[in-house]
Amino acid sequence: MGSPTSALSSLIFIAILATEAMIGTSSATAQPMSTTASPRSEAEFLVPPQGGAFEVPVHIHEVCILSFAERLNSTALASSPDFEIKSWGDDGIAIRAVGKTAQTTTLAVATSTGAVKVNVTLTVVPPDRPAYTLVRFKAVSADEAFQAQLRTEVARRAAPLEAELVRLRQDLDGQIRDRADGLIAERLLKRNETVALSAHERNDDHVIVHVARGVLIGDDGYLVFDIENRSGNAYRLTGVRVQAGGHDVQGPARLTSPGNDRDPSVIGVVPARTTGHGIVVVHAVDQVLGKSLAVTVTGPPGTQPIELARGIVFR
Amino acid sequence: MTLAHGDRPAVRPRRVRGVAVACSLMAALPAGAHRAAADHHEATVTVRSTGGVGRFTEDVTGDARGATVSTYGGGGEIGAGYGVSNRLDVGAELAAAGFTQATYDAAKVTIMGVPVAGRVTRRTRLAQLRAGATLRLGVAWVPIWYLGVGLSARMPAAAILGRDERGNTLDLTPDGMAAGAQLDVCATTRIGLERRIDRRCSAGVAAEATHTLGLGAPPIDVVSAGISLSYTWYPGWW
Repeated sequence: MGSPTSALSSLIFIAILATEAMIGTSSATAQPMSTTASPRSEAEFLVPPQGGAFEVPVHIHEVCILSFAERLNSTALASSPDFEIKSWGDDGIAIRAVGKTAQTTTLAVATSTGAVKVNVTLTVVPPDRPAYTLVRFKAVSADEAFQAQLRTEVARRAAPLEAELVRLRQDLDGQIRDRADGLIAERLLKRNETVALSAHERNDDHVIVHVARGVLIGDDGYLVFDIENRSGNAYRLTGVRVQAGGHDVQGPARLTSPGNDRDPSVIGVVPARTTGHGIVVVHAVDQVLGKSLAVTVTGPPGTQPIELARGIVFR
Repeated sequence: MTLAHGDRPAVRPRRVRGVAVACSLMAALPAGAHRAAADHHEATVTVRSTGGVGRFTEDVTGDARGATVSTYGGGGEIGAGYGVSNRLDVGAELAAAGFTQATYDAAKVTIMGVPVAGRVTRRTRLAQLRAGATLRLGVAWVPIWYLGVGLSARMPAAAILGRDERGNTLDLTPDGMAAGAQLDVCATTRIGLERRIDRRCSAGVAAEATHTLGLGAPPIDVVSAGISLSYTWYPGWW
């Protein structure tokens, strides 16, 4: 099974590939490139000054137009009689595979100025495979042709890696959950105990915190609490502090009704006249076993914190 | 100040009814503002001062009906409660009240077996231990309705025959009307409104009515109103 790390490695590999290709720019001979190939069976081939060879898949009995940016020099030369080849204006050629045995032919074409010189290999492909019906040939510089080649090659090589990355991303949630489930299972095997607690406190704003039980799982403890908001305003929970002997021992806290505020400091929101349920983690609970814990539930600045100073002991 | 039998002024019951109606109205107003319930897990200690009117009946007419007199009184109560849910508290309270002298103008009593008619006066004190439940219907403003039953100790002072029917001044205690104490049963209902001042303290007003059913003695009815202060905390019992 892949991992996010391997996906990252794939991206690095793509970058290295592109770099290697660019390093070879000065020495490599510019090769003809197709720059676009749309689902509409059109393509545009970039032709470097020295000319190029291209392969054009076609379907039998279907016309394919080879279009050039300038007037053609002379009649195209074909190597097979199974293809019907006709001029299409001054700057184009229409070809069609007509013979039952037509498979492949080559076609040499040059424009009047000599800017475009190509040798096109027409290949008959089955109907279930893509084929072109319009191909445009465009004269470009050697550098442009190389850049196009580079992009095409990188895209070609990156395509399977990107597909793998998408698959890995889709699997990532499952992997995280599997890993979390495994961790929980291991901790439950180590210790799984519930401690009944009875601690309640309120503030002047009629917000009441009930700590009814604790759970010992593995090395950590969890305090399960309720926030009963009997006021007429929503209560925003911003922090849960757990202290043992003056030292903070709390981990993260969660609330069943997470806040939709954009303020990241808000853990959750308890609407007016409702009760929210929450949990705060107590790390390394073995060190506080038998000790009285003090829990302080805080809201936004300016609100009165709720302090539960007794009745919370992991035993 | 004493109200003689048959000389019942209309103003006093009207005042009592007025207090009760006012409490009811105040109780109704905030009920719509806070539908949430009361104080689960909380313990409360309440002290309450009361003042009201008591109706006492004494066997001073020579028949089974006796004579009934209304008289003012005042006292105090201390109670403790625990919230078993957000709407219901249960608890106990101790109440004590003393009443002004009741006067029976046309009393027929005996002094050492000799029938005598004249004015008899008597003071009575009550002490009650009640257990009951309080329905609480609010958060900041808390309308309450209490219902409790318990034991009532009736402690009448010695009756005094101060003047006979001829106008002679006497100072004698009629037969069977010496100071004493008697245990009765009682039932109390109270309606009121409390205001939660902060997380610990509340203040309230209430009107209550108590019926004391004498075991072998005439009943006593008390209607009173009072103000209360409460201290509330979480004892963490469960």
